[in-house]
Amino acid sequence: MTEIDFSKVYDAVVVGSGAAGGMAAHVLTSHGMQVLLLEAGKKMNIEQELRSMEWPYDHPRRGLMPPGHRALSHNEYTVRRPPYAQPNAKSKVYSYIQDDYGADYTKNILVDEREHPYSGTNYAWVRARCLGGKTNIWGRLALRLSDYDFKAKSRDGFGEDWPISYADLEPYYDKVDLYLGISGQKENLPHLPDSLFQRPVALNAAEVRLRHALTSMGRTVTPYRAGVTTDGLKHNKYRSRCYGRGACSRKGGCDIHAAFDSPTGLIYPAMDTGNLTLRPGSVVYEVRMDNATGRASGVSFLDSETMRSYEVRAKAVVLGASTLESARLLLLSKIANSSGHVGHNFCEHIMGPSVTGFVKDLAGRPRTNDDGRPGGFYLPRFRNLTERHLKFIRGYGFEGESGASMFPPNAMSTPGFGAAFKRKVREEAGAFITMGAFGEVLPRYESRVGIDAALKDKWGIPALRFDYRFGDNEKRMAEDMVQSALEMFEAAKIEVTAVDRELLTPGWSIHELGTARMGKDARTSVLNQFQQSHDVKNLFVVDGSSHVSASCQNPTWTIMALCWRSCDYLVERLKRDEL
Amino acid sequence: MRSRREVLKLVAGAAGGRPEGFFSREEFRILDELTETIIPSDEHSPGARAAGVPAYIAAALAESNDAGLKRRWKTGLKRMGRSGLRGQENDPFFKELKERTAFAYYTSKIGIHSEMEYKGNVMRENW
Repeated sequence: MTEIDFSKVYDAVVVGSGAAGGMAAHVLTSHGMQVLLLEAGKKMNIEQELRSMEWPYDHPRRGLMPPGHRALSHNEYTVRRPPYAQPNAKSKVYSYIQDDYGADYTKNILVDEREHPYSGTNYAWVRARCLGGKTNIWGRLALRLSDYDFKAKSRDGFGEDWPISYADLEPYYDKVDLYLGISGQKENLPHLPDSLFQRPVALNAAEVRLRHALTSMGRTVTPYRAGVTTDGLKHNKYRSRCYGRGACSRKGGCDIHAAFDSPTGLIYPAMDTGNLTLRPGSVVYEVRMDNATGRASGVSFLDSETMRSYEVRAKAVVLGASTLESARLLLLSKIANSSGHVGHNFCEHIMGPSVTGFVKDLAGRPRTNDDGRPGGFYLPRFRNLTERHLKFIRGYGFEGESGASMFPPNAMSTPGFGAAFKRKVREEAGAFITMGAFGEVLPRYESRVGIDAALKDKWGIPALRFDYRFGDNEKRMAEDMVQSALEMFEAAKIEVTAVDRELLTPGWSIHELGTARMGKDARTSVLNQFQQSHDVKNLFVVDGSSHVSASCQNPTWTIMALCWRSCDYLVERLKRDEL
Repeated sequence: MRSRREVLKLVAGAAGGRPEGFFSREEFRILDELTETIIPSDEHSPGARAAGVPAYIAAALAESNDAGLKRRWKTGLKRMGRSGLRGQENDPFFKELKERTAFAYYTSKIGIHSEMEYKGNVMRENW
């Protein structure tokens, strides 16, 4: 980490250090650009935070948080309206994601809600302010989008097509696969293109049973496509290959960094080029404009500790602060919004509907190591591909898992007590299979965030106000998720033991997307196909806010592929002095 | 698994302090007896008592700053000490007691290794 040179005009200033900002730093520095990376949060000693292999009984609270810390419950998100925590509350208040027996390992990664308020409609907004952002805690499912997603409007008439097709992005997905490593199995599905996979995890007995049963229905159960290097990466000295150690489901990252995170995957290698200056604790509150040229001149930020204000200059400004924070920054700066679409077309994934089943003949079998895998299985979308569903458009996929885990999944749900209870938990613990759906939320113009001038965060920066609800398409889709899951378990002769039908609070999937969408038409979109502002030529927004629709696939890999493509373009233009 | 996460939040609070000063000797005796009744020693592995479940629960309650929770446990233990567990399965305190017992037991050394014979959290060269 070097000091900022305030007299210098950097080639690019990048705001945010997660999947998007980290990738921008990597690509730009690899082209020899002088890059300044600003991160609002701390640079932590992440190894000390993670302690991936610490046994629960070696932690004073078995991984739970100390008194004076608490997580928001589903009930609070439902019954109350944001802001969910008052600034003077006695406890540290975290989003729901802290509600877990690994919570104490992530308490410095995730934000204290008291310092980061927002208002409006109910929304479970999960934020990580630290180097690497949410990549430190992500679920690691790494999927590609296809032309079923990019050209969805052409198929069903809703929203807009993306200004790119799969062929444009495919080479960049390949680059991301090779640079970061991804584990999975080829399936040749047109709607879920394969990656350049490293070794897949093995499906276990119950998962294989589901896979076989679904083949005749034309559906696929494939090993979890994980952003985890299973064979290792010769070019990255900060990351080890996966050793299948287990307890992967504990929230918090991977201490050997087999699982991708932005610091070890992207930022540390970028620093090794000598072209990167990193400044954590830098809360950017405005993109500065040069009114004479109509170009951005740099950004203003506050030091998060001293509250002192600084201004830095750059030839290009690259925002990767997250879908909602980048939109907030554009709105606060009152730029790049001639279309009036900034903050609009906000979308994500619904989640909640899930089923759990029991595979009787697996009960009592010798214990296996099943959570030594980065994930269980993925069941890709099957709706609205070849035929149209009558009740909703777009689709959903399932994430699932089966087998033994460190904490027996049935310990809380098995009735009774005493010797019979204990035996039942022991014998049946490895015989459950569960899967939950992630479905596309339609990008509607009226789904939006705006600035709430009356509500300010700890740094005095106006907060976001949400105006966002699920619509009928999402509700009808959720009903079908449950129905189809039950049908599939029945086909596999898996006895259903629990069904969740309820949609979780908006935001729960942590897949917020689309507040500064790309498009060909500058009147109805904020960015062009290279995530470049239609209005301000040297301004790029390289995170999920650029996505035109949510698809139903997890977005991280697409965020990084798009960012890589855009940064290649940025460099080419910058070298030709065309920004 | 969602149910696991949903349930664990009910087990909020945690250990760290010491049982003394919160439970009386008699209350702790009842806690010890009830948790061992919920997860007893059997031919397969030791139960809640050997796994230190009562001490863990007591320490978690001792350092909690939730006064309502503390009250509930004092009165609940007294009541359940008299009635025993049989027929109490729909009682909210029984559910809380059982959840905390299960959490403490299955995160203990005995619970993870002896009872569940958990195979993970080890380096595997080939997998």
